[in-house]
Amino acid sequence: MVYRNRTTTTTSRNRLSDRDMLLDLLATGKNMSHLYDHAIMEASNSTIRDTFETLQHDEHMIADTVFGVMEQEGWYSTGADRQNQAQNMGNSQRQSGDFDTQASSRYAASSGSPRFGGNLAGRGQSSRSGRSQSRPGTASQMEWTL
Amino acid sequence: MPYQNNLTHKEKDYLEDALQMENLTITKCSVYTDQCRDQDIKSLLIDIGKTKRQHANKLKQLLGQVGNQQIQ
Repeated sequence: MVYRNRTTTTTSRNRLSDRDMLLDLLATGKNMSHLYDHAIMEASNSTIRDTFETLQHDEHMIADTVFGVMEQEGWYSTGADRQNQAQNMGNSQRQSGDFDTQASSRYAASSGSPRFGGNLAGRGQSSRSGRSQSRPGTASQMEWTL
Repeated sequence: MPYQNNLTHKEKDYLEDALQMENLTITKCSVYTDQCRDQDIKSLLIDIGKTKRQHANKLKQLLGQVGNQQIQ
């Protein structure tokens, strides 16, 4: 699951944003759906099984509605969305075949990751000096925390 | 009535677990309805809460009815 706007997660302390509420309901529903799935499989009594199946169906309907609202609000990004984002960012994790020189140099400048890999091959002091050389230090740190 | 008198232990456990989860969701829905800002989402939460209450009643019924029938 990939969520788009991390900043909208929690608006204030002790209070969930609307998005988080729906997200929580979605997660709870998913959990219950698993429970019902097992219950249906293990029921030996047809009435009980039918009941569980009805409840399971309702669960699916609820999840569908909640998901619809979240998608409409842009709170829940699906795979297609994520792919667009990756292309916009020039970050082609998913299609490493498209990793052209421009993208890789941008990647090196922004996150310093290739340099970091080089440090692993070398050792000790060189790694420290290599790290301090990477210019946009704050930017690289931010990327790492992501 | 159409079903057998006895629930298996598993069925009983599942019913109880499900009831617990449904109740939890009902509570969540009512809390979220209070906190929610968007009117559309608020009414959605109320709807979900209603459905969940029906679920809980159904589950209670099954647990309860079976309990009564076991006496027979």
